[in-house]
Amino acid sequence: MIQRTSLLDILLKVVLYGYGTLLLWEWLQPVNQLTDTDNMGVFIVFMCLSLLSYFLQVHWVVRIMIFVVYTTVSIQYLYSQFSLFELAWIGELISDMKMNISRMVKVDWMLLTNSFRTLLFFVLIWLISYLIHYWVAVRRNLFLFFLLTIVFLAVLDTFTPYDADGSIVRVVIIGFAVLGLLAFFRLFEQERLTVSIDGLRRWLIPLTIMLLFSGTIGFAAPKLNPQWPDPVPFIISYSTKTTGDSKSAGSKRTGYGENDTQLGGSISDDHAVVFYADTPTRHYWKVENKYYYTGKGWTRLDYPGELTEYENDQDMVDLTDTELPGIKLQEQKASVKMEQFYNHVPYPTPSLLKRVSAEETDQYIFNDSTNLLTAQSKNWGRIKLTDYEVNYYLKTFDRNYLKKVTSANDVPEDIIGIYTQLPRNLPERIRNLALEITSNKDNWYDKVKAVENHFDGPEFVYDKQDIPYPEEQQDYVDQFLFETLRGYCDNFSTAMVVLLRSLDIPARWAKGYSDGVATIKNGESVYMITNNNAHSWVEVYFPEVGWVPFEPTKGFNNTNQFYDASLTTQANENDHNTAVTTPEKREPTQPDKKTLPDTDKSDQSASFGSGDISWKIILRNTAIGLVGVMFLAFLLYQSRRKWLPYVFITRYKGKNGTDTFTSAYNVLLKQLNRAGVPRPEGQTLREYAVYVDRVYRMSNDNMQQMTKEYERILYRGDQENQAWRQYRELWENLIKETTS
Amino acid sequence: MTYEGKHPKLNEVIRNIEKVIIGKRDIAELSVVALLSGGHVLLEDVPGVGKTMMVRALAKSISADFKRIQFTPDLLPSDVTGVSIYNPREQEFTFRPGPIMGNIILADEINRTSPKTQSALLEGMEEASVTIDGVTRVLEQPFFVMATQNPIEYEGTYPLPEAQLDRFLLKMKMGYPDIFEEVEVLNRARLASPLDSLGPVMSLVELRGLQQESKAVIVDDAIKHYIVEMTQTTRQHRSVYLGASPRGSIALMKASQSYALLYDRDYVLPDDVQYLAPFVLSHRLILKSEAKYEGITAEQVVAEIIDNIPVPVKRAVN
Repeated sequence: MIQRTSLLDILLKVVLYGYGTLLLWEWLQPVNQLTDTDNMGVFIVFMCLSLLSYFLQVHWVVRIMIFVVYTTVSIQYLYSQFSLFELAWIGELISDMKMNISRMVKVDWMLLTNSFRTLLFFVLIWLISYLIHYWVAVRRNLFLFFLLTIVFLAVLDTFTPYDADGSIVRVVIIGFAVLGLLAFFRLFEQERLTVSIDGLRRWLIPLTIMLLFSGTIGFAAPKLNPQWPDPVPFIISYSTKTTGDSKSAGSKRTGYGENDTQLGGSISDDHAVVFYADTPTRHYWKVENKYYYTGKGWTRLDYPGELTEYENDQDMVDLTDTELPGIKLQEQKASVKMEQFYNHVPYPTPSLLKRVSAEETDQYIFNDSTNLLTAQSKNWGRIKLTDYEVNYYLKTFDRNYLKKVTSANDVPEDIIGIYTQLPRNLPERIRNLALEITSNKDNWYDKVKAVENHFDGPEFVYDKQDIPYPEEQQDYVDQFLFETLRGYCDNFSTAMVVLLRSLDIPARWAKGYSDGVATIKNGESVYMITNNNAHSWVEVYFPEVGWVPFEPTKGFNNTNQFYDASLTTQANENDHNTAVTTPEKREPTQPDKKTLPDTDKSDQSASFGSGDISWKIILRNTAIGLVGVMFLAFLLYQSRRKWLPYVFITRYKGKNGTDTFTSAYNVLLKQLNRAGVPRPEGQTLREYAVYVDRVYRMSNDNMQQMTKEYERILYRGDQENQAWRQYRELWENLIKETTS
Repeated sequence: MTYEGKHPKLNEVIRNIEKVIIGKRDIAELSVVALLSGGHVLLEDVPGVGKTMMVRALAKSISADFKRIQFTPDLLPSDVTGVSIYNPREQEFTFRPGPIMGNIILADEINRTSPKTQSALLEGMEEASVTIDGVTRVLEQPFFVMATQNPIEYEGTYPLPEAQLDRFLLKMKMGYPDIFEEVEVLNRARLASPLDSLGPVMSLVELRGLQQESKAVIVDDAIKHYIVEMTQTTRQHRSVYLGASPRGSIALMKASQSYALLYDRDYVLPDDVQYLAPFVLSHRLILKSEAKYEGITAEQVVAEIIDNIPVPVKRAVN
């Protein structure tokens, strides 16, 4: 008999744990498909290991040891450059954890390294497997998890490319089978029946028939079409604008190219690192501007601009007596370590450069019109820097100041001349579109924002694949705006510049790199800028303020913001924008062809941005967040004995109603029950009070004193009067004790 | 149970009794409770544990008239109630009152006499009056009967019918004293009987006043529900053949009121009810024979019921 029951128990546990494993496995599958998480095998093995350890009831010390060893070795295997037997990886791991924890405290989620995210994922899996264990071992009921799994899969199936058809069928069919078996086990346990194979078979036959029957019905019955419009396009369009993860893609020929005369074509990922930057804030990196639009691309040959020479370490600006209306400056310093070598020197933007220092050079040349910065040595000529430091003032712009500009009246003539240039044969419909977009806007800033927001529309898609070149007679922007509506940063930024210029608003095209990914290098937290971060954006000229950056590309934003000098908090209209301007003190007035030798390469290299499918990341983060919140809520509920008393104390602090004492006393009774000092139903309050006072060693017999008062109110029908005032302290002392 | 102080006057009575009876404070208290409620007590115990002493001490303490009836099989009802005798000198019948005409009566070994005689006493107990030769005579108040019966010898006895047991407010057992108490009994017995030196501490008028006061003790609706739930549960209990009657409910409430007064409280607590329930309810239950065979006693049933009925700890909603 005893053996029978234990056999029944084991069978029950095997069924439950097995099904729990299957459910969790169904949870992990989409992670692989939807996020950039690889090596799922490692996590699945971990999950199985974890559930197995609960199933076998391994001592918790052993379990923790297994987990710690497995996670560290996995992280080592996945991320460390050292081998397992070089113990250096342990130190590396520890310093990595330290740094990440400090970032977590600062809520810098985006800065967390992949190794740390992996660790968190392990912890998450562990927590969930604990939850499953809890449901299985304590509640003996997996229904909640079963339901959650179906909801999760249904949501994924609806909102993501993940195809959960198979998963849902598996989960539901097996789920019903398990629920049916559980009902059998519970019934037998409750009725203390002996489980016989015969009985099990008799139970299983109708169960199988029912399953088959309902499964067939479900499969064969006619199904309604979706009753709601598909919300996915809206969510995608919304999320791409609001996220700013620039994990990116690359191309076969990606990265920074200097020839932009023939824009178009597909590009693919290139993860090669261009440089590492140690900066206090996120911002874009500018290389140069281009201003002549040919209808096929950009060229700078027409206005080479004036060159200014600066010595190494020399101050480039003098801010004394300088007033910069509508601009706020923030002094910062960045160290850059190049991994790929170019003639140009990327610098932070939007900024005013203060000083550039490097050991390898003694001179810099800044092109005032293209904003290109290069280094040169007196002896060697042009050189390619490997390490340098930039001191700069990061700019933010006053939105209200920008809104004052309504016409080109105050704009210098030469700027109008150069930066509203458009090809003569530009299709008229582009200008019409621009007028239509901005029809009800009166100032420049609003017009520019309207054009920028035009690209947020769901009809525009960020994509790097299958982007065509314009036809022989076709304008590049026209093709993008009216035919393909698909493209990457070059498409978006060029289109915006052309639209603005058609409204006679001076605008130019800026090239460089987006802010990159946070990473750890030699124990330092730095931004890693790869070829995938090559990017282009738009700069618009505002009189007195100068060039102000905007970001039309879907999936991109910039941590820099505009601000409102009058109302600094009104930044909620989604103005996370690429603020980019450069140390332009003077705009080019004369073409000067001798300056910048254009190292035209014959190959076509595209500069593009990356925003890839950032909504996937949102989804992943939301899912992780949701699970986290659920777990937190569970923990909070489990530990309510510890914190509820403080909630009650605060709640009752200011009260003094006619029944405050009564309700406070009742709350205390409940809390005592939670604290493991329950009152049997048949016990009187007096006896209970004596017991409580003894348990908590209350020197003043707090509970008995209060109980006497409560009895008078309850059994004699007395009014409370001042009871609460009189007993509040006793009550607080006692309810605090219950947390211990 | 912790209680605040006792009613000073009643405490004096109990202390007075304790001068004579050692270590039987609970019995003394319960007797006072019965006295206050106008009820009667059935003491079930072996001879020699101080039943008579106890009653006499109580009677002396309240300066009441004490009578004792030793029940024997040949005792007649008129021996209890009194009889009219022809007086040749005055040529008429004159009534000679029986022992029942006292304030405090000890009915010793009540189960030894015939049912006829028993019922004469029980009628007096219930009605507080006796009818002799067609004349109803009201008994003097307070009227308090303490009946005893010996649970050991059953031969030649007439066990009280259940219907009549119901007439007793409380049934209790005295029990033997413990070793120290019994030594103290010996110590006191060396001297003259302490009963002789016992003086009254309360007048009958005061006692009647306290009886009125006990009726005024507040019984909250929640407590009434609690009491009724208890008696009703006895009627449905699996081991019980016949449960407590509504008279049992009334008895439990009245006793609780007196007990509250004894502890100087003007409202009844569930604690009072719980304490008294075994004494009030046990003798009103008739157990099923199979329960008796299993060795279940009425006291156990009552204790189980007390444990299982939820004590009212929140204001009644109505």
